[in-house]
Amino acid sequence: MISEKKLIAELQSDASKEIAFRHLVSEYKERLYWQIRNFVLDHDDADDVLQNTFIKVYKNIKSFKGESKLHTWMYRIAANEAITFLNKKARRKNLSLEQLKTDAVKKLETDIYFEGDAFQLQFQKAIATLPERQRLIFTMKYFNDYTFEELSEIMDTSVGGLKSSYHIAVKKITEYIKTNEML
Amino acid sequence: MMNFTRNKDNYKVPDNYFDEFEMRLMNRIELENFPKKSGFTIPQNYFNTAEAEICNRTQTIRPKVISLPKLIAISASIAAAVVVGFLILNPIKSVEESNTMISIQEYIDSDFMKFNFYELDDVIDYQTISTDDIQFDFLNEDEVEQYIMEEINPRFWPTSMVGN
Repeated sequence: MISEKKLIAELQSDASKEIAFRHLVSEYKERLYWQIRNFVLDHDDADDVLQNTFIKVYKNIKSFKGESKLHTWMYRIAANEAITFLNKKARRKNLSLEQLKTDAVKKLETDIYFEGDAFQLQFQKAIATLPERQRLIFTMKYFNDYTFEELSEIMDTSVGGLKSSYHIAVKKITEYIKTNEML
Repeated sequence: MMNFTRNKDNYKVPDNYFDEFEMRLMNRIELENFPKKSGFTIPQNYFNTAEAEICNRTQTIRPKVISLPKLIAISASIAAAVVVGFLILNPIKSVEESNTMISIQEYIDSDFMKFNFYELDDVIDYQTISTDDIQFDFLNEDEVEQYIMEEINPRFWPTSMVGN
């Protein structure tokens, strides 16, 4: 596997950028997709955000100064793009973000790309009740298995703060599920 | 420096360890009850087609070529917005500040404000700011015009506002 330093150098050189970018997409597309999908829920939306994320990486790679790891930088772009996408979608549909999330979860019941059972659906409903930032932290940690240290770099927040956010999210989800009698 | 509680055998644990342990343990138990998978699936061959599509889209990204008159117009608009923004935040109060305004105007007039869109891309660095974070909709055209008319010396008015 190509070293990150070499990959960045190749991405920043006009001569090797295209090949290096293909390598980057091939390497990170799945991880980024699932990070996004667990946040936006709908496959088509996740596809849009994934494309926007890589286009932004492509356009901004020259200004990447290596102050964080390349993948951390991309995960941060993906997180920002996902949040921006949902905000824009809510504005376009003239809905509150809460309403948009509620609708998105409801849509899962008939979504051909959601094969979860009733409990998984209830779990998604519970996650949708979390505030945006907490929801992002929870989904990235729970489904994508990011470490708190990685999350700390991505979210620019202390590990302690993230752990506490995550624990609060777990409590809220548990409460929601208990209230709705699924546990 | 972290404080520790000593027991009789001289072993130590961090302060509040047992309270926090209980909370963390309950959290772990709650997590055990959650579904292990999200239930989301993807269309067949999605990742292959997505990869091809993303790479194709980048092929169409070419350096932006902007005609000279358009570039001048854009540069002037940005410069004007910077000046107006500066004045809104810092109304002119003294002769010294007035002189600063004159310097800014001369700076713009003498075409020192040279930049291209690659440099702008560098300035609007993703690591520091996202263009999505910039909100322009609070700038009402009429209010800006009124502000310029009331607060700025007529010699700085755009020619369209001076009239014939």
